[in-house]
Amino acid sequence: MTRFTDHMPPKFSFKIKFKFKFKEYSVIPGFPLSFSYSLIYLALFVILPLFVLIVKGSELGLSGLLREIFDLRTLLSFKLSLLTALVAALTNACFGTIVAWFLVRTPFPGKKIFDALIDLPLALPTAVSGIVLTVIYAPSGVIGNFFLKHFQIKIAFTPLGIIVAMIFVGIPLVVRTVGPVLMSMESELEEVALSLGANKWQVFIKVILPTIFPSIITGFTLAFARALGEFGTIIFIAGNMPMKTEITALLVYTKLEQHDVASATAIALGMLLLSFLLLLLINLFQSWTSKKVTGV
Amino acid sequence: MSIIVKNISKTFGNFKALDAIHFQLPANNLIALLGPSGCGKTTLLRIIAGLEQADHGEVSFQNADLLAFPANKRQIGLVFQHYALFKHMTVFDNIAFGLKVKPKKYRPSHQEISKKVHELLKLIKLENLADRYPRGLSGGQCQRVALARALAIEPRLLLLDEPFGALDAKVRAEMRRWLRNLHDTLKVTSIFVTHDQEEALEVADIIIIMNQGRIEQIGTPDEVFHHPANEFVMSFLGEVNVFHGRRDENHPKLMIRPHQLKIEHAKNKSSLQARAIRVITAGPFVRVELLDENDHNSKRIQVQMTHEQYRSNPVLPNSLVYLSPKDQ
Ligand SMILES: Nc1ncnc2c1ncn2[C@@H]1O[C@H](COP(=O)(O)OP(=O)(O)OP(=O)(O)O)[C@@H](O)[C@H]1O
Ligand SMILES: [Mg+2]
Repeated sequence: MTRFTDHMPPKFSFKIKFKFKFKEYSVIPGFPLSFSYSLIYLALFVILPLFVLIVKGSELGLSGLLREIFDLRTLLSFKLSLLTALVAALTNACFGTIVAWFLVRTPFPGKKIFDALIDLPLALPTAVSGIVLTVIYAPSGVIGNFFLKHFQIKIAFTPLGIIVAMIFVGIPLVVRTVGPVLMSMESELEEVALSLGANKWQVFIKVILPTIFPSIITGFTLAFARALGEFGTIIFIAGNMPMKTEITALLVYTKLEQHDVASATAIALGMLLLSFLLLLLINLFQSWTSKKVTGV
Repeated sequence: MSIIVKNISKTFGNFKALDAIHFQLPANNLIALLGPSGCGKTTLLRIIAGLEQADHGEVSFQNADLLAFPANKRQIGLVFQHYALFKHMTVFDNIAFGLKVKPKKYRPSHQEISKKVHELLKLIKLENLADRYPRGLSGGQCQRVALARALAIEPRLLLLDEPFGALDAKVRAEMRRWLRNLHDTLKVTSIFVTHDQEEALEVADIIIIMNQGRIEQIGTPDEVFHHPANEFVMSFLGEVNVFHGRRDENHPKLMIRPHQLKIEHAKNKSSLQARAIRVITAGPFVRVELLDENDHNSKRIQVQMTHEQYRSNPVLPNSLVYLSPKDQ
């Protein structure tokens, strides 16, 4: 005999009352367990450090906090960081998708090597990549010289240089999120679209892109977050002129060097809030689009 | 003669998937492409659709050389086993896809598209599901949407690759009858792949039987069932008992279907002694399984008879009986 209670959702083993309810009873075994672990994990590695940051930052009091955040130098660094990160993440979303496409769809000799190269920006110590990029993109470097001569554009030591560094560290994140989705796409979808008279471009825009779009946004988000958090690669190529090419991460670092921990945390807190809001927005947008794709 | 496939061959590496496939068939028929798994049915269909390139050979339809056009210019409707519906589009948009991607010059107006899609929805009896996404449809409904989507472009030729393969037996039987009715109204020349002989025999006007990249026989269901060209066709199209010429090497192998054998209780000169093992009376026919008394290692012999025949001549399990071919 099975008792009626056998079919009831298991109760959570810990005593916190949740204000929300899970949508429906999950058939995946061990769900409460994995949920409590995720919560502990998040608490230890994400929430606790953030909490400390907030406590530290509030030492200044609200007015002090606001004064630090609304300082012109700080505001300009926010603007610079966010804008360059946005441009870099958008560029990566575009070209990362193309690279992923190329990797998945086109057979070519040496593909394995190319594939391994993609991950390199993640593995390279940031100081190394920073120096290498600076050498290449500086006015005397190969690419830097080319752009200066032919287009009168300076790359290193300008916001453009910051974007280059951010693109460099973000590429693998897009390629590695979009690639697997492209790989697992049924080829029959494209074949049906072709047979219905669609040309290659229409197949891409109407069939492939909608399917991989949620993964492109995920890749974009990761690249954006990485670009915001990047420090090592950027400081070499940025030039670090206050109010001009000084990113927030560097500003925080400068304050710390001056033993001004309170204003460093205040600035960090401001950046944190901004980034959190942006990421939240992107996530909401993504769940909306993925709903469209899966058609629920 | 309207659909002509001439000498189509295809090799993958050094594996010959299609070996000089050759046939000519009149238009407006429902043609079944029947054969065991891996015999090249899908490959042939994909070559006709332009999704695969033949090594050599020709395919033409109504005197137009199909291979000269890319897949998206052939105007061939395709239906796959797993539906391949666009998940991010509603049922309506799925069906409208082929009309919406037409070049501006030929693209129908919004109203015309809407009218056409609703006609097709009516045809597949899913008028009230136009705004659903494929996720919320059953397998049978998905397949009908896939078919409507293929029909929307008014295909010259409709190709279906195991269209009912993913459906359960009951829905499958319903769907194939529905497909037959649909074909009778629309008359679009259609080729459907199946490895289910019952499906082919029931639905098709013409059956092409393939094996190992070659065609074994082409004919109407009646022809291929009653006059199989060879042993393969005979055994593929239904259950068959095989009797080997015993001791006598010149004696040919005898193949005979279960309904062509009769069971008697008295011996006659050409009969075979056998022991009844199982009698199955549930079903439209009575089936008797027997074992050759002189060769206990051979496969069980199957005999089929009507309930009337069984009542007038019952067979008890474990009894010894005599088998002989019915004289026809
Ligand atoms: N792209 C390919 N590369 C290599 N071999 C292939 C390829 N496509 C098909 N084959 C081989 O060609 C043979 C015929 O394949 P095909 O898919 O046409 O069989 P089928 O008759 O449709 O079988 P099934 O009923 O299982 O779908 C198989 O042995 C298959 O392994
Ligand atoms: Mg197949």
